[in-house]
Amino acid sequence: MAGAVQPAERILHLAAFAADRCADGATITLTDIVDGVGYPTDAERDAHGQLQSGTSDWETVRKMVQRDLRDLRTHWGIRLDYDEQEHSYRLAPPCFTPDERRVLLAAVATVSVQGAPDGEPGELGATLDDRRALVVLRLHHLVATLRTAIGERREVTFGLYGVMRRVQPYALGMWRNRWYLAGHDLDRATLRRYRLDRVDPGEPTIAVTGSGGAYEIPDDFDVDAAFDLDPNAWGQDPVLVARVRVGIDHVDAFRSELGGEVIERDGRRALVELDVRHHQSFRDRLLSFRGSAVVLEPPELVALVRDHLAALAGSR
Amino acid sequence: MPVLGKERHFEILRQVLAMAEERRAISLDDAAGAVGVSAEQLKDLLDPVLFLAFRTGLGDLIEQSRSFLLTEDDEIVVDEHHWLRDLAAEPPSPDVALRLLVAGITMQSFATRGTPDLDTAVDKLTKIVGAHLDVSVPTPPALEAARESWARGRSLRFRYVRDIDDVASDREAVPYRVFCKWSHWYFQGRELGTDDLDAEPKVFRIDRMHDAHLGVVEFDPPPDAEIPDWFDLTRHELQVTLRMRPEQVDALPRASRVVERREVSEDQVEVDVVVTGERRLDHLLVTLDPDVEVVSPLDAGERQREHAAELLAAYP
Repeated sequence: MAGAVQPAERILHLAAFAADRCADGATITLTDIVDGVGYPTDAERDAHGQLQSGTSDWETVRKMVQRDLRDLRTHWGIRLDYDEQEHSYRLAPPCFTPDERRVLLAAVATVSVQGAPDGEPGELGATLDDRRALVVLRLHHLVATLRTAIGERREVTFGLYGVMRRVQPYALGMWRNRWYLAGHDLDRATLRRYRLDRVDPGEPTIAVTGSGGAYEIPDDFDVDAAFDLDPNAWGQDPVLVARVRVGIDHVDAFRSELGGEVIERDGRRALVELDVRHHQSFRDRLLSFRGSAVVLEPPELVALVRDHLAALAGSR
Repeated sequence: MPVLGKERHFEILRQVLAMAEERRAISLDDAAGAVGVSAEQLKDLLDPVLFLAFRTGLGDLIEQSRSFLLTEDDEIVVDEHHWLRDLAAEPPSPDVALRLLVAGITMQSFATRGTPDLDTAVDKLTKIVGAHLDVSVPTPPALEAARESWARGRSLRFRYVRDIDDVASDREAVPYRVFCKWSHWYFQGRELGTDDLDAEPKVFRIDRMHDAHLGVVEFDPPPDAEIPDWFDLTRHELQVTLRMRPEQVDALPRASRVVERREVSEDQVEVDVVVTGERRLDHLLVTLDPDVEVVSPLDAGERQREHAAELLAAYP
C-alpha cells in the first residue's frame, strides 16, 4: 500500500475497507478503520491494540476519519453510521440493490425523459446516450414545480380559463401525451383533474402557497382511477350497449380509441359492441372515423348522432 | 498538471465511473474529453484508484481492482460488481429521482413479463419523489410484430390506413427503427416495392397498421437511424376562431390546441383553435355544439354544414 496518499485516494480506500468488512452487517471500530486504511497516527493504544480515546493524537486521527466519512457520504452517497452505544460504525444499506440499479439503468436507456431538470454529473443514468431510446417522453414544464408541491404537501394556485383555482395537489399523470394534475379543489370541495397545457400562463404560472404539511392525501385516493381519463370509464350517463359497424381497416384504431369487442366480422366490416357511459364523448369520437364507423344500436345513440349532425347540417 | 482539489477530483471520478458502468466501457480519450481534462491527466487521476488496498483485521494486505480497470487498449471498464455505486445509501436528488421514476413507470407500462426489481425500485423512487405519478404508453396490436421485425431484421407486411384520407393499402417495409414518441408508436423504414431506392425512409404509425406480420426479406438495420426530433407539421396547421360558452372549451377534441382565448361577454369566449390537417379540422367542426359560432375563416361554416351532411347520409 502506498504511504502518503491523496485525500481522494484515502477516502476510496476507506470505502473499499468498509465494503469488505461491513458487507454482512458487521460493525467496525475507529481502530479498525485507522489500521485498515492506514491513517497515520502515533496515538496511544491499550493492551489490546485499541486506540485510547481522549489524547490529542486520538482526537486528530478521529477528526481525520470523521472528515473522510463526511466526504464519503457527500460525494459518493456511502454512509457509515456511528453507534453511540457500541462505539462502532455500521455501513448503511444501499438505496438500490445492484439488480434494481441495473433495471433502472435499462429503463433510462430505453425511455428518454425530455424536459426533466438536469442532475449532477455522475448521478444514476446521467451519462446514458438516449439517442437509441425506444420511447421518448416529454415532461411538461410544470411537472417539477407540482412534484415539489405534492412532496411537501403544499397548496397551489393557478388560473384556468381566467378563473383562479386553489388546489391541494395529489398526483401527476400522463394520458395520451397530455400531462394532468389530480387534486382536491378547495373552492369546489371535490377531486378534480386539470390538463397542464390548459393552465393560464402567469408569473408564476403555478404559485406554491402556504406551509408544508398542509394536508394529507386520503388513503382511498386511487392514482390509477384518477388518471383513467377515458370518458367511457368515468362517464355518469346511463350505460347503453352500443353496436357499431366498423370498416375492417379501422377496427384496431376504433377499439384503441373506444374499446369494445368484435362480435361479427366479414371481409369488409366488423360489428363492435361496447358499453357507453359518456354519450357525447362517444358521439364525438365516433365521428372522427367519418363514414368508417356507424352506430346501429341502440336507438338513443343513433338519434344522438343523427340529430346532432342534422342540426349542424341545417336540415331540421 | 495543476493539482486538483478533492471535490473536483471526486467529481471527475464519479463521472468517469458512471460512464464506464452505464456505457459498459469508454475509451480514455472519450472519458477525458467528457470531463474536460487531457487523457494523460485523466490517467494520473485514475491511477491512485485503479487498485485500492487495505488491511484486514489480521493485518493481511488486500488489493482490489474493482473500482476501475484500464485495459492495455486504454479502455476504462468496470466489472459486474461495481461496489462503489452498490454502496450508495443516499437517495438520488429529487430531480434525478423524477427522471428515473418516469422512465421506470413507463417501462412497467409496456413490459411483457414481471418486473420485480423494477417494481421495488419504482416503489423506492415514489417515496423519494413524494408524488404519485401515472404514466403509460399505448401498446397497439401491431406493435409486437413491428418490434419483432426490427429485432430480427426481417421485413414487415401490413395493411395501412393513411391518416390523410383513411384509404387502406397493403404495404411491406424493412425496419430502420421502431420507437414511441408523442404517445404514438412509429415504424421507420424503407418501403419495398417502390423503384426509388434513394427515397427517404418513411415513418408509419403502428396504430394505423393491422394484420402486421413478418415478411421474408432479410435486412440489417442501419446503425445511425435516429428518432426524428420533431415532425414538422406546421405547414399543415389550420386555425379557426370559435365563439362559445366557457365550459364548451373543455369539450374540444384532444387533437386541437387553443392558442388564444378572449372574453367576449360574461358567458361567451372567443378562442383561436389550431388543428393539424383538414381531416382534423372536419372532425373539430362536426363535434361543436350547434350553438357554437364559427367566426372564421369565412368558409368554415359552410364546410361544417357540408361535412355534417355527408356523415348524416349514413343515418337515414
